[in-house]
Amino acid sequence: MTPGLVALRLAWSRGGLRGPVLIALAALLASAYWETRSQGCGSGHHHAVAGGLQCASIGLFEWMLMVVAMMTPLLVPTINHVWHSSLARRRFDALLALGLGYGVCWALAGMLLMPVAALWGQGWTRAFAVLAASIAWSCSPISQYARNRCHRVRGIHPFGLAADRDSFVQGLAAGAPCVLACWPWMLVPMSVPAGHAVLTLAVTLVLFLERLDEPRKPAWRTAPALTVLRLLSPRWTGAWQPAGQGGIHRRFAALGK
Amino acid sequence: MPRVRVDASSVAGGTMLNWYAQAVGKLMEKPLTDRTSWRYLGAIHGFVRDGWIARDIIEDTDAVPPPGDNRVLKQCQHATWYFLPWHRGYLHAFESIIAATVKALPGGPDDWALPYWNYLSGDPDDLEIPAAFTAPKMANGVDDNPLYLPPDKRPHTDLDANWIKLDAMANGRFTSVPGTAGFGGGITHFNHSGGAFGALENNPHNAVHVLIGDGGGFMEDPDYAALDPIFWLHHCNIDRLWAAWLTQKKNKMEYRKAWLRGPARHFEMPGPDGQLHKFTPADTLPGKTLAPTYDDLQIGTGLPPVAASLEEVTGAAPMPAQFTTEEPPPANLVGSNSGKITITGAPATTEVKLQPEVTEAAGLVGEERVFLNLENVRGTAPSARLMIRIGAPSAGAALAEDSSYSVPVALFGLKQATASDGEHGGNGINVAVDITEIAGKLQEEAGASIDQLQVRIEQQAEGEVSPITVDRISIYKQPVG
Repeated sequence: MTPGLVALRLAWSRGGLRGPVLIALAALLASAYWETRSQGCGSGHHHAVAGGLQCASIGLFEWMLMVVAMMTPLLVPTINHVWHSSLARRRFDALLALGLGYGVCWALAGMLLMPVAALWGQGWTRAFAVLAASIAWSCSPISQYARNRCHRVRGIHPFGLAADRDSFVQGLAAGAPCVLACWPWMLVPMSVPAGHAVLTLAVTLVLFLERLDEPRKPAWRTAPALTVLRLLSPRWTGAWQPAGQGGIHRRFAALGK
Repeated sequence: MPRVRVDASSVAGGTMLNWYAQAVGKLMEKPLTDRTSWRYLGAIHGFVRDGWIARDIIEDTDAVPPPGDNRVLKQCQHATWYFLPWHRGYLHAFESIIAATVKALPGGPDDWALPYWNYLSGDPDDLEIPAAFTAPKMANGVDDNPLYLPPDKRPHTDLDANWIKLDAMANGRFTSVPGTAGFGGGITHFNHSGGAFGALENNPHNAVHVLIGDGGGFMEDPDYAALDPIFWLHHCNIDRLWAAWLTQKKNKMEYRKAWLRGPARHFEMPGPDGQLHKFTPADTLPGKTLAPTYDDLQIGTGLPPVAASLEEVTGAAPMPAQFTTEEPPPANLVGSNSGKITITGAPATTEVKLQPEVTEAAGLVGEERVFLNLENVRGTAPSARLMIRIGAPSAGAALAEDSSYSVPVALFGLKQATASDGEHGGNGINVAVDITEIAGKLQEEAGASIDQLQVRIEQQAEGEVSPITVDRISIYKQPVG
């Protein structure tokens, strides 16, 4: 197992990732289910606007499900920050306020992006074009600037309404740059004629890897997801270990004696 | 022959320093592109090309290491549980290169080892940088002394005893959880700057850096610090304090794989042959490849006499400290001030309100440790020093000038941690300091539960003071055990 995966496993065992990932999976399943339910409005999102108010509201609901599925794992550091910054009895209120602030950003973005997706329509060629544009966007300085801002946390007041206010503002502060960094990627699963859930999962993975990359000076650069993948690649270390003493596992075993 | 690291103020240490000066002189002659050069070794800690040109460290026509070496440069680990193992590997690489250089000198011994600067030995003379670093010329009165730096690069040569402490040595856990300060630091990935300091890193490590470099010196800035020859003796002492801490049976050393294996970005160092070597934190533990040997693990460590056997002291076998894979108990927030404060030339005072039910039920101090946190500290100076005074006037325990109610905090690497395109997106530095004893004394003076603490923060700096902001000042409690 690579060190990166070890770190992820550690985060999972400490419970830091477990909740958000389970929420994301639940949202993904709900999103896939809702997609089949909303067939009456047409065969996809592009009918969400054209199909009248009822279908538009279904579109927004499904959009938010997709946001929950894709963005919750990315929000883990912010969730941890708000969790640890709040009094034990106020933690769930704080997370609710955080989610509300974050959700407002993505709901507004959805109102703009869903009509765009509807106009763009679906098809493999179109989906490929959106994918290429998303990769180019991720390489851009403005996307890097937005990702840098995604890492920013704010002080949270521990008591009363001020605590809810600060958590809500933290949600806005995390949501706005998140929209800026990720918006074209959201259109990728919406552009495919089939396999929406699979594409949602794949894009979530790409965005998660991008977020693992550290903040950098905004400039054109290689897609950050690729940079992170390279870092997570299998490796062998310990060149200072004299030859013939075996692998790192043997050394761990020796330490335990 | 085995290398044994000795006190720089001893006779043997004096001999080591003499060889050190000659070897450093040799390394300084080499270009930055040479992995065994003085400047390359400094750049592993931190490197900013424009800044190095501005400070005459390199010329603008000098070649820089090839892009393939970018993974080796700017590698230092701060505010992380990797702080101690990374610097141990760094010292090992440096010591190996200097030792090889010494051996190649006429009459050079083959057992040269890096001496340590034992500034907390209790001898006031040890608060001064060793004399070998302060004379501009070598003993022959002709050659420049490579260990000497002029005042613009090393503004101070002595330490203020009020600012350097050994409180960290009483901390029984290596790993911090949010809101606390473990001996070694908190769980992170590869962490070059920004984040939360461990207890030993905060003091004496940061304090010595800032006290020596305060006012524009190399030592106060991570991008230049390792270019001051005293850096290595300072870090040797910090490393010795870790070695001493590991001799105590009550201490719990981290042993989870995420720590043992290190982060996804490898730790990599050059050897004397210029080849790069990877290492993991596991390699730095007692009995392993990179474990050093010290002549003494008691004087200046604040610890009782070592209960370990000679074999253990010399690093030949695992230390008595317990290796643990358990997560430390979580800490809970019990109060904070109401918002961001700015500290300029004048002290800033703020009220830290505590959760009523906690103070009513058990008071501020019970079977738990109490930590004061400065969260998201930002500023434009390379580093800064803050003196924090704690009182509880509303409960009858006034803010005292007595130093036993004060906690010194040194913010090493403040500017880098503040940069929005820096590693932490400009979240600044987090500092947690153990104030259990202070809280206990305040509790005793008040004679009742304390529902509010008063915290006064004073910035102390040479020359012009630039503003420092603190997003929140909070109190966390963590169960003992």
